[in-house]
Amino acid sequence: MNPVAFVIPWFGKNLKGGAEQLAWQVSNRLAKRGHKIEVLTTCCSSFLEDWSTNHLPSGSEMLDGLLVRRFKVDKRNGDLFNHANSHALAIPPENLRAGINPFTFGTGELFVAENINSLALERYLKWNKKRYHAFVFLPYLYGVILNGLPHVAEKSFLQPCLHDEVYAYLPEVENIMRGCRGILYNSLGEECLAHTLFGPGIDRKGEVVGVGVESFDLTHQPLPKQVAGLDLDEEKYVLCLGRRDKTKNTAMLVQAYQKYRKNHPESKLMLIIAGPGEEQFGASVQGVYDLGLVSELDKEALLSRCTVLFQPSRNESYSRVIMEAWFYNRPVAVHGECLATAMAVNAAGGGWLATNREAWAHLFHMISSMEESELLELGKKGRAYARQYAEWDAVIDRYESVLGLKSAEILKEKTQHRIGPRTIHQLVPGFAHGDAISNQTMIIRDLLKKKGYKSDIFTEHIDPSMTHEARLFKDGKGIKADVGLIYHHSIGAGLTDFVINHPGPKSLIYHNITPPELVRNADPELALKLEQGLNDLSRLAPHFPVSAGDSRFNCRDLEESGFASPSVLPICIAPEKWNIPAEPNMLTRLRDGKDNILFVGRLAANKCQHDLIDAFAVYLAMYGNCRLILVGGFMEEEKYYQSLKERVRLQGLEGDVLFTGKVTDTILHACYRCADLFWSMSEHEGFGVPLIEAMWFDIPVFAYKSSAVPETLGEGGLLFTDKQDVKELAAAARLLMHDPEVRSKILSGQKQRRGIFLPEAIRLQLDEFIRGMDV
Amino acid sequence: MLETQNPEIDLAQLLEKIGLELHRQHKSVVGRLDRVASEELAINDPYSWGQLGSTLNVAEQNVNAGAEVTSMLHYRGIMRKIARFLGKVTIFLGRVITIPQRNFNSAILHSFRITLDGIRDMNRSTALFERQIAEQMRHFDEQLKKKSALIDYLKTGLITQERRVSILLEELRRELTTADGSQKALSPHLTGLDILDPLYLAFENQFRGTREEIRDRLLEYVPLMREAGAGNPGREVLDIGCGRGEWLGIMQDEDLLASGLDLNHVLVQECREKGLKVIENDALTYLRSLPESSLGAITSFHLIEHLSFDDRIALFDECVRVLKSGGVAIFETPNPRNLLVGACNFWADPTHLRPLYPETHQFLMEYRGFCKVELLFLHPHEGEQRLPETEAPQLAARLNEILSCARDYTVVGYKA
Repeated sequence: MNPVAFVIPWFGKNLKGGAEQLAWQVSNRLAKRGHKIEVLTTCCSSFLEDWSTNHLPSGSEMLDGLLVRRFKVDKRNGDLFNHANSHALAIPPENLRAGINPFTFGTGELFVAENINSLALERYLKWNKKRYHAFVFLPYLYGVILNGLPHVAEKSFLQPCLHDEVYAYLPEVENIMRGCRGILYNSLGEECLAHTLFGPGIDRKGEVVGVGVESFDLTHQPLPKQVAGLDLDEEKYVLCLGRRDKTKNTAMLVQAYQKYRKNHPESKLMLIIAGPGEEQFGASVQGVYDLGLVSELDKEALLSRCTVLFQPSRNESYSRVIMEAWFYNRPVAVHGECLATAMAVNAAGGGWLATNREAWAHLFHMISSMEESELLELGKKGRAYARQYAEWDAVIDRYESVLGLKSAEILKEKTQHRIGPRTIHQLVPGFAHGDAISNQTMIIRDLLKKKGYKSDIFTEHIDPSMTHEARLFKDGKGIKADVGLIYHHSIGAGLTDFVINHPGPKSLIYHNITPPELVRNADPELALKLEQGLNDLSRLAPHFPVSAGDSRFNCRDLEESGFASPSVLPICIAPEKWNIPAEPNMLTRLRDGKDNILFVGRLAANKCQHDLIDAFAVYLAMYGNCRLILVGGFMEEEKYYQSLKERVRLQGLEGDVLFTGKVTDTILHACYRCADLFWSMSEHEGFGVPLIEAMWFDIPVFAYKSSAVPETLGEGGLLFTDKQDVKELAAAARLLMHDPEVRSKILSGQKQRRGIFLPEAIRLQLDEFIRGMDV
Repeated sequence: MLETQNPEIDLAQLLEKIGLELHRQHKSVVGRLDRVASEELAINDPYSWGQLGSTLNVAEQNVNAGAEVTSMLHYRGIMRKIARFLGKVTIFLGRVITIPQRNFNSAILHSFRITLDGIRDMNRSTALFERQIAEQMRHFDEQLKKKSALIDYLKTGLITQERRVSILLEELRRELTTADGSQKALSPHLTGLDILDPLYLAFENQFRGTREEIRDRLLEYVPLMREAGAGNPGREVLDIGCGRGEWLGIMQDEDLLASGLDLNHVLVQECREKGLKVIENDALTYLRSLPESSLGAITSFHLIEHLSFDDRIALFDECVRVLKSGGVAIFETPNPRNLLVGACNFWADPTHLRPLYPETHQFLMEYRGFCKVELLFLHPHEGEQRLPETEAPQLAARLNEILSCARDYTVVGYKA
């Protein structure tokens, strides 16, 4: 197998910095497992040196058995870089909004261009791409990475070591996050941050690999039983470990302890603080011991015997000390608003969260009254988690599997069964970029090809940008009489006669037709077309022994039209569609502090946008500060649109309801990214693609129970069966947006549900369906 | 009404939360209104001043645009060096423009800062001002409420006093009636005092129409006076039931000699204050006191519908007696042929007895000695009352005839 290359601006055993240490550890450990590993880096010796000086000779060298190739760095203008950097740091954090470039006046480009760069390294990547199995780039914010990764994007894995800081909002960073093949995260918190910044498009190529924590070698010397005169075995104490400064919240913790002792003066529970830093704590508070800086050995001894470890800092990106405590089976308590630590504790179940002084004081009390066995149980949970994400063996296993270094996986890739060159084509009325049904046909085609079939997509109307994916249907040209045919039926198709007369094996997939009576008043012409579509369905029935609908709800239509035992074949929805930047102007417009309520669907009477406008008016009157976004195509002269506009005008909502019309995917992306609630009043959905898309964007879904909606939503979202009590609906909508508990439960249900519609999940059903055609 | 298949969600608990939310929301709406009225204006930041501040910060970082060459990001290596050199030359040459531009930038930025400070100050003082106004409005509201309570109190007091006075007058009359049935004369101050007089004045003011309206209508009669030579010396006009004196006023303006006659003490006083010559007396009593052939004209507007049949005949007789030869008598009264007047408006005045049929009226006057007796129909309804005659022209015309015809009519008679 070809080698894996780690690309990093600086490389060396003793370099300071998280990413540098990580690169050293991982590359060495992978090499020790026998993989071919190379490091591509610059001649600059470290982050602290001048970035345009080549301290080390260029060329390759062996470092601890690892091949390191060094490349000369480019000359750069440090002053310009500093100017851009200080500009970036001056941007107030509240101005940072995901998807919007905070760097103005070209300072972003300046920041990248005058960063540490190496043309030589880039050239090397470009010309030697084929020689490598994969590239791992880390960390995210240096020129070497930002300019280098695009050259080898399809083989690149990015380990961003992402922080919520101004650099993360650079468009160049978004570019590499979207362009790379896979993303390696150090923690759940980091993954969550990436999701917030870049949306669900990158979700499925990311993997939390974790960071190993070197466990202390206990074989050489025993841990001391006494530290600073305290007999650790005798005392019961809470430990707070680490550097102390204003951001670490140590002072608050001491106050919380003081408060606890005031209420429980008899308590024996102590608070021990240890770690470097100027400030001294608790000299006057009984029960608080500040040990200052302690030796590694003492630190281990303190950790191993503490009752609980407290980490009150709000500002941690990855807390080693939590993992260390867990390795000793000790539970931990962390700040509830610190994303990285709180997510780890939540995921592990190895401790508690607290946010304010009262909560911390209460924790002291709770812990003092807990049995050792209970504490141990929590600590064990933490240990299990730590072993998974902080033990090097497990972490390196994960690297191997993500980078495709495991031999078993390579074999799996190669196993494919070939059936022989038979043909199944698909016929679909329209084919457009981003359209769910078009995507479905492409997934089916790819699957067919994988199974050894010849397969093409034929369509009556094609989006000019998609001509490479499908062929225009012209009187059956290119479709031989004996080939298999999958016909996707919905309205507007002049294909009915052709498919009825096609003599070869065939099947039908039905994508729902809106009942004509629902739209007859608003749009009689459309109603006629729909009627035609339904009539066609009963004409088609006798000719198609194999059929499927998007949902059980759709299958009912098929059965009524005379199809025998149709199966259910849901539409595939994968979040990769959204691996595109969101439209920045729309983002800016929608991220103005108002809550955004979204509905996506053509403006049509059966989708009941009118009910939604009325309900929104009530919500707005009750709570204010909100906007309704109605995404969906319409013609200016359409009656229904005019009536909606009039309704908006009469209720004085002109500034609060936004009709976007038919939008591009980048704009729709922006709408989804900014939405706080997806609210559907629709009375007819054959399947409801936007419901699932909303789930991928972690927008709570609030929907009227009708047609296929409950079937599609499953355990996701919240349904209502009655539109009458609008005030109650508004209050429920409020809770879905602003009650953290309700929101998180809904979202966790949605996370479960959305997976069901992934291509992998639907593959089995597809297999079954194709087998049924018996080609 | 809510449903979910998510096992984590306890619907009962969720519904309870919604209930609480609705309750809390109801309270907070009330609370919000209070808050807006009081202060917290600083927290509302509808124009995002905070953002403006940070935008200005960004602008400030770039105020020196054009002072240095850009980084020429499109080029790399040697190309960038060349590009940057050329850039530096350009910048050097461009100083003619960029130096004043930078001065302009900092001046504008400075002005923005001053403006922003000014706006903030103004916002603060506006908020203060609004609070003061709200305070004063509340004060005025309170005062107004107190005053109207006082007025109500006084009104009830006044009515009570009026009743008391009328009872006293009644008792006084009884006291003065002696055993033999003869009545002692009441003191002149008390005789004139009819308790209903102010009431009728109030009624006239409210229902009869404004003085100006009435004056306009009455102007039509001036030519009749002139034709009959009435109002000249020796042919004086007498207006019976002169009321508020509108007609007397017109005649005075037209230099016609005239005097009025009315029973209502308050109205008489009002006319006299205006310098009109008015006699306070009963019509018949006064006419009987006049010598034969002594007046040029007798007018009476909206009087005869208040009289009984006998009194009306007596009135006509007396008029014929006191008018000089060629003298004119004018009697105006509501026209019952107009359906609205006959069926409704006539009865608005509680002292009206019955509507008078125009031809009967004419006949009576002729029969009692007037000659050339004519009916004049006056004051038709204006356009807005008429039905459009487009859809059903005959019906509309017919209805218009009875609904929009003259509201009043006048019988004019002359003494031979």
